[in-house]
Order: sequence, then structure tokens, then C-alpha cells
Amino acid sequence: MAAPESGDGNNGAARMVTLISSDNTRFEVEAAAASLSQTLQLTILDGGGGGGDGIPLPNVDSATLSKVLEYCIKHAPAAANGGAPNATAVDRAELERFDNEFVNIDQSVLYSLIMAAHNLEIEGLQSLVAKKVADMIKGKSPMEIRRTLGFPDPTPEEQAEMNAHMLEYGWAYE
Amino acid sequence: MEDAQRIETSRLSIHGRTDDEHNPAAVSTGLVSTLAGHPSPATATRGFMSSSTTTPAKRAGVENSDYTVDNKRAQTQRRLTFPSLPQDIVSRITAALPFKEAVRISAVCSKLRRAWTYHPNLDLGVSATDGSVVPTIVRVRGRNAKRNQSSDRYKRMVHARRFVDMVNVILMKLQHRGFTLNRGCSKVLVALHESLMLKTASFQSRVEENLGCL
Repeated sequence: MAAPESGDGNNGAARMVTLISSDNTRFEVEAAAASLSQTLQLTILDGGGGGGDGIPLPNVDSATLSKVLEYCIKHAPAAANGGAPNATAVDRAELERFDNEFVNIDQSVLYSLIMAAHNLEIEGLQSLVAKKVADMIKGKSPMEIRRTLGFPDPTPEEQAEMNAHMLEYGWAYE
Repeated sequence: MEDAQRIETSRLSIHGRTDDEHNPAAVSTGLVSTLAGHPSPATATRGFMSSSTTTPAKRAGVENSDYTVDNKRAQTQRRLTFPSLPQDIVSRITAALPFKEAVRISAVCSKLRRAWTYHPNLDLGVSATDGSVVPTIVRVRGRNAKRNQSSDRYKRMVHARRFVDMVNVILMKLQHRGFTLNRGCSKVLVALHESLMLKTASFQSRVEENLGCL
């Protein structure tokens, strides 16, 4: 990708951009980190977000945004290499360890994260959270899944629907 | 090629029946295109950033009714629950599950009913891929298949029958989504069907409809 290099070619310091969360908190990050978001990358390539102007993100609150940026900053160097083979096994193991710890959080925070990642189009973060939620569901019965995901107890109709489904899709329960 | 073209048409004919209030415009592109599995990222881009990225002059903090509404929404997003997630995110999560589990989760609630049809990989289990089905079928074609119901052969035939039933249900459901099989898959399925001599008319017509011609 051309994005990470394009911003800071003229001087030594990395180009910084400012992001503004829905509750008006300003976050200053390296353009390379923010560019992990496909949406932000376009704005940044257009020269937005620098100087006094920030990029407002009206759908992301500051708690979520700081978490998102934590991910981006950690993953920016690897993304700049474009997955080139010069990333050592140690680096990759470290990133993996970071990822595992990163998603070890409350469910509602996970959902805010995946919403933000979806809206900002941060592919890696979306997959990471989706995988985490999938792991929470894996190997559970429909009833256990309901409880895990915080659904209310099923009404008799819903229960009947569930049973009908289990009959229709018997092969999926083997 | 022709197959590619048909798949393209099918994409266009998807109707957004599973859309919800959060996400009226989103039609996921995570369409299953072959039985062999064909990863397709479920990314639906919407106008989330449009107001902020295209008009950088509209800064945060400006007293603007749009902004206040957005802000309110952001506050309520603080405690998000699974049921409040938009369909394309749900599909993304189910896509990270093994195929059968993704089907299983559709029992959980009506919102998840069709989530599995976005699954990028139609993994029908070992029996479909390890080649064991074909020799099994060849063997059960012989006479007196029912003579000894406890025989291995009979069990395998029942197994193969259930496999066909499963594929049948899947095809039926996917057809609602404008799904088409590619030619190779259909041939395998029809061959499978014929060699089983199961005169399940609905199954055959389903495959033929999907393929158009053989």
C-alpha cells in the first residue's frame, strides 16, 4: 500500500492526523496507524485531518475510539510492511498475543468495537472481533447461545420455533 | 464465462429481506457461489463517514442538529447487545463459525434465521469431501440393499440418503437468496442423486433449475 509512505515523505517526523470522537475528544495519531481504516485512508490521502482540522467521527465514542486506535497503532508497522516476509516470527507471535489479550473484554465493548471497525472499514479488527464472538458461541446449543449472547428467555412460541428448526436441520446437530 | 455470469445475475437479484432497522441499505455480498466454498468478504459500505469525510468543514462541536442526533446515538451504543447488531455484522460473525454451527445458530432467533446463508463456505462435512460417498453409492446400487437392515451397506445408504436430504434443504433455502450452483457442482449432485436412485423430484428439479441445463 502506498498510504503509509505518502504522508511523511517531506520531513523526518511522521505525519499526524487528528480524529474527533462523538463526545468531542481529540485523538492525535500517526497517519500510518489511522490509515488502517480504509475510510480514513481516503480522507488522509486527500490531505484531510492534519493541522487544526480534525476528522470528526460522529458514530464512535471516545472509549471505543481509543481502543480502536490502540489496535491500529499496534498493527500499523506490520501493515506498512504489507505482510512482507521481513516480519519475524517473534513479531508475529507478539501481535498474536496482543490480539488475544485485546479482545479479552466485555461483550458490549466487543460489539462497539466491531461496529466501529465495520464503519471505519478496518478489516483486521473486524475479523478479530468476529472470530472472538464466534468462539464464544462455538460448540453451544441454541439455548446456551441465547444465554451467552444475552437474549431473554424464549417465549413459548420462540421455543416452538427453535424445536421446529432443530427438526428441520437435524443434520446440523449431529 | 457463463457460470460467472449467472452468479453475477444472482447477486443482483438478492432482495434485502433480512435487513433490519439499523441497516436498511445493507445487502451483504457474502454470497455463496459454489459448493466447494468460495470466500467472499461480507463488506457492505454505507454512508457512515460520508458527512464527515466529504465535508471536513463541518467540524465537531458545531451546534448542528445532525450532530446532536449522531451524538445521542453514540451514547446509546455504549451498551450494545448482540441482538442490536446489524445484519451484515452478524453475518460476519457467523461466517467465522464452522458451517454446521452457523446453521445451528439460526435456531436461536428469527433475526439469525438466515444468517448462515451468507456463510462463505458450504462445508457439508467429511462425507461429502473425502470421496467415501461415491464408493458407498456404487455399492448400495446392487440388489437386495434392504435385505439386511443392520448391514454396513444399509447404514451407508441411509447416511447417503441423509446427505442428499441435507443438500436438498440447503439448495431450497439458498434459492431464496438467488443462489446458483456452478456447473461442476450440479453435475456431481445430479450424478449422486441418480446413482442413489432416489426419485426425489424436488431435489432433481431444484438442481436443474439452478443449473438451467445439463
